[in-house]
Amino acid sequence: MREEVELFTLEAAKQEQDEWSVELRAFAGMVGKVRRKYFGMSINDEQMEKLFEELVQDVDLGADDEVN
Amino acid sequence: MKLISLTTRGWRRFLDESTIDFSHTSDKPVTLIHGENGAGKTALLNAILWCTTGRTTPRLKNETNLRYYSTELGGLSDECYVTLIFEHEDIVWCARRTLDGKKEDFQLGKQNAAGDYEWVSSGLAQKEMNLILPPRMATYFFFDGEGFNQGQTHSERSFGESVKNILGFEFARQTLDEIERIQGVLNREINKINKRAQENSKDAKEYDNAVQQLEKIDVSFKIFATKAKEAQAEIDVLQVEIDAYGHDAIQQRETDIRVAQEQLREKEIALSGAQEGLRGMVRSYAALAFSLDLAKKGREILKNKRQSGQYPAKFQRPLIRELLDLGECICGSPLSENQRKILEQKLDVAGTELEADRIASADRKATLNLDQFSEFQREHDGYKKTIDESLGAIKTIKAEISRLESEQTSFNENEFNALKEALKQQKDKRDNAHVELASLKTNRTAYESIRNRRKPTNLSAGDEARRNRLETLVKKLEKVKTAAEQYLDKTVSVTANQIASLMRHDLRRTDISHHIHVDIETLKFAYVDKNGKEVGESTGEELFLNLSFASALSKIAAIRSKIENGILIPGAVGPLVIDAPFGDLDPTNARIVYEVLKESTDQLVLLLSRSHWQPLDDVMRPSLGSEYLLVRQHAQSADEELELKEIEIEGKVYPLVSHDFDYPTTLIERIK
Repeated sequence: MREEVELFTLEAAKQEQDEWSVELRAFAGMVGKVRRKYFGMSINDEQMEKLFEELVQDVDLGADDEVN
Repeated sequence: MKLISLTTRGWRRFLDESTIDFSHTSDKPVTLIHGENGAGKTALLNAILWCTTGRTTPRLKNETNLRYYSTELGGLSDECYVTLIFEHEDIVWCARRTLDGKKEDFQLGKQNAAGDYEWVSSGLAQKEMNLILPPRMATYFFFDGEGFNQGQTHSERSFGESVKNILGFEFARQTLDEIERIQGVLNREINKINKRAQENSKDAKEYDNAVQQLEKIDVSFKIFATKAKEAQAEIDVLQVEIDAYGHDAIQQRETDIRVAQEQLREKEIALSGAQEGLRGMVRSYAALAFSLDLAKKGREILKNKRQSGQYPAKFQRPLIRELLDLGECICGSPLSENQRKILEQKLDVAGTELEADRIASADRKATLNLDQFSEFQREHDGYKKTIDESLGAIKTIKAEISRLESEQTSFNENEFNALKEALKQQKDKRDNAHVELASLKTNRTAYESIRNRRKPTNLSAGDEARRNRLETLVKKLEKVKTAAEQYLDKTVSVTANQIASLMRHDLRRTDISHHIHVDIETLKFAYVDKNGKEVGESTGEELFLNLSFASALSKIAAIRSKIENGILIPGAVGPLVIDAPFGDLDPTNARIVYEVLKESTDQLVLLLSRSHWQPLDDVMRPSLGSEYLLVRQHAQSADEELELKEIEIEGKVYPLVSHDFDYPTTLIERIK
């Protein structure tokens, strides 16, 4: 394969994944949860809230947006 | 998703139950099914599509007649079903769709550890199948090469929808929707807490007011309780004074004296009456005694006379005459004129009666007089008794009056009235205080109720903490959402370019001289010349473009499906099942397309005619895991001569057509 095609290999995709921001990592986790729900796992709103909260715990809001 | 086997019965040309086992190993991922025109290649492709989605390709025009039919057989087959066994996410599934008239029935089973299928309830079977392989995505994996993409024309091809459907954008978008939905849930909860906070604030005000009012009420209560107590003490003192004053006893004695005097008068009247009666009685008694004595004497005289034989005719006459002469009554009192007249009348009649009669008469009178005397005596005794009693009572009453009068004292009416007025005022004070106390008590109960109901609880603190947590979560989710949206927007165009690059890479392997242009705005691709101008395309070029596109989608989806914790996770990655993909390609390009397709998927099923397969046999054979032949069966007819078609595979000749059947059908023969 030519070089430009090799960009779309699994390794390239993983490398891109390593560069994700905290927010995108959290979002990726959420996709997994939503996908599990989509495929039949029973997740209610309260559970989803907790799952989301765990996933976004590293997201930094910054001083202005912090809710005290 | 990997296909394991396909079984049909009564489906299109396939009357008897037939099964195809698909190859799905990594070194031999290709299953090849040979078939001449009309043998049922498209019918098999549609068997997979119909079984999983209930749909067929546009080219299967006669889709209302999916069930096997032949006049030779005498009509429809007795059964029509397609069963597809496949593996998805390490689970073996069995999808089975049957057709009875126009009524379809779909079953989906999940293989358990024992190798049995646990069937999903009928209402959920298709829903679950759609989750495994969404129907709109199925057409990207199971397609008719000659009628690719459900008849879409070149200009209608859009990366956008394809990318969304196949490459995981759908789940990413669903996740964004889910984030938004959860944000909505959280915001509603925050609003509830805010509302509760407002209510708490209102409650707190009411609570504070109630507490203040209760404090005031307690103070007032003490004041009025003291007032009532003081008034009662005054009342007690005044009552003692009034009692000590003896007014009531004096009043009572006065009343008693009046009553006694009244009784005295009554007794005196009774005494007077009795005395008067007694006096009359004495007089009557005297008269009666005289009359009796007179009668006794007269009778004695008469009796003596009779006993002596003397019967003076008028024995009373001398007495009467004597009395007249004396002018006195027998009692000695002077005769009244009336008495004289009576005696003179008696003198006239005296001696005119028979002595016996007179004696008898005298006896009767004497007896009467004695009776009357007894009567008088009783009456006299009665009067005497009354007089005695009256005199006794009068004496007693007078003694009582005397005693009462001796007890009577005089008092100062004004002082007494002043005491009474003071008592009344104190009673009023006490009663007013009690009214106030009752009112205060009622108010206290009401305010206590408010205080208890509106009492601020520590929920408020809990609510506040939860609200802060939820608001933080909403903001963090918003930040995640924004980052994800930017990522997806960027990745759509990146992915479009990736697909275009893959297609360009494929294109460069062919002798097609066009370039591929992708419009990032519209996400459309097309052949262009070196100046970027859109060019016309041959049928083969268009077919290559379509297959290259499908290959690129499949390749990227396959890579993404292997990424753990990825954002763009494909909803499903199906095997490529393609009917007649090389029809309009020249042999060179057909070989390239085959390589492209094989590289892009873990499992490839090709349905090919002899002419399309033969030029590719050398490149295909090393990857073939399964190989089948569709043999058309014709009903024998003495009047027609049918062409005998054969196919040589790896030096062995197989018939493609048979003529010794009673009815037309297609047999599936396994070669490899």
